[in-house]
Amino acid sequence: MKKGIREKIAEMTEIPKDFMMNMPRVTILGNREICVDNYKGLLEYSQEVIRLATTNKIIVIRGEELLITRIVEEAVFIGGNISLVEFVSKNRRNEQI
Amino acid sequence: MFFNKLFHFVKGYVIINVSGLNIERFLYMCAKRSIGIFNIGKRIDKGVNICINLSDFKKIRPVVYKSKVRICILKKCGLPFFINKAKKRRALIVGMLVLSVLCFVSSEFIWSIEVNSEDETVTKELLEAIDIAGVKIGAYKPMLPDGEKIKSIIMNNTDNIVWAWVYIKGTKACVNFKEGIPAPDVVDWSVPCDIVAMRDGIIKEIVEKNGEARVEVGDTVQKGELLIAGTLSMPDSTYKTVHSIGDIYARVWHEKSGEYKLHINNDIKTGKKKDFITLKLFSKCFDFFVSENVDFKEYSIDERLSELKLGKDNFLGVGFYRKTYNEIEKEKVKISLEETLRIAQNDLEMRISKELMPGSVLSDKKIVYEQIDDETIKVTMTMEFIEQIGKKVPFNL
Repeated sequence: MKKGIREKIAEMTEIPKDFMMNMPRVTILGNREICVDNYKGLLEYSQEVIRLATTNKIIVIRGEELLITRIVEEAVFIGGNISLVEFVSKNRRNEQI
Repeated sequence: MFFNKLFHFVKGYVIINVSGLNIERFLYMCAKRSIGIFNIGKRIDKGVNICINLSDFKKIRPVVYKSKVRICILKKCGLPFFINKAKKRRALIVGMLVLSVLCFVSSEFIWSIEVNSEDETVTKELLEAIDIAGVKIGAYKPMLPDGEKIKSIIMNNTDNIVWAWVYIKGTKACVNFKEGIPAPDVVDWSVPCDIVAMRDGIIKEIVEKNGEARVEVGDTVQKGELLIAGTLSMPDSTYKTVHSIGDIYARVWHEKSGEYKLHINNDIKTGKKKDFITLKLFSKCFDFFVSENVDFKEYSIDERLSELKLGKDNFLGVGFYRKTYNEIEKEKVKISLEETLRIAQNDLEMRISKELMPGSVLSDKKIVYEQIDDETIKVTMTMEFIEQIGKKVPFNL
């Protein structure tokens, strides 16, 4: 995977990448809670799937009884029975974690 | 979580239903514009239920237009709405004010007095003494005399109290006191006396300090028999009287018997009960019944006192006393012979212990039983003690 100039600078200067590259920071607590910082939009909200827009990817969260517990400008907190977190590129290439 | 809820309650919030095609956009725009939304519900056909802070509610108008959703207010919650409603109900506000004033005023009086004593006569004596000092039910706390004055009044009006202090805890007055140690008996040597036996027994030991022993170790004595004589014979055929002192220890047998059943009666509640409620208003009692008539043949009584209190000790002068009569039925439960003997032993030991002199030492005990019928046994218990049986009896010349 090719590294961009911002990533290279971040690595060289040891500045946090989420700050430098405007990337989302995803924190998962077991399979019960997930917190996405630095998101750019809410694309879909249902009990089975929640899609969040970030700078260059779309984060797809799948599970059962998903619920947005809190939503603020910088972060969104999602609770429920999470089974899958996907990073979908805008050109539809999937990277599963 | 609790503080979060409390915060939202104090600030006030509105539960709204958001429906339409762009709910996600509405949510994101709310977040972007720092509109406080929380408790976002599940997405169902009718849309999403969300809670929105009261202060931010007016800010959602442009968001609603932009995102083309429809909103509907479901519920208004929180303190501002409650106050708004309460403003229209003046009687409620007046009632609350009166209640709080009553609570405040009634907490300025003494509503209960506690004396930590098991002796009823001491309790009565103390209560009378503090009553003279002005500490009584219904007394106004700021008007009470100071602690030192109460203490001196208590000590002047009681016999055996060497120290006392009244602590005011809320609306309760707690009386702490210390009883004096009684002075030892002074032996009046000028009064001549004999020492006689208080009960039958066999002499085991004689400690003769003054007077002349008239019995020997191993002698059998009966109640009232002379043990140490206060009259001493002199060689010149005269006599001299003294105050006899001495301890006579003897083996004494105590025997008790009783009939015991080979079953016990268990009480079973039938479920029928009758309540009698009394309102305790300050120091007065008001019954909520005419007479305490109970038709039950056998019953047990439960008593419960509920008092309106602020904290632990601030009794506000209002309480309910509930007396419940529960109908019971006796059920016979068979028990083993050993169990019956154990019960009998406890009972007989208790009965014998009431007859003993202080300082008695148990040396032997024996328990026998005989069957009277299928359900009854007769148990006899014999206990041997070493007791001091001497008693001073003054005599006149």
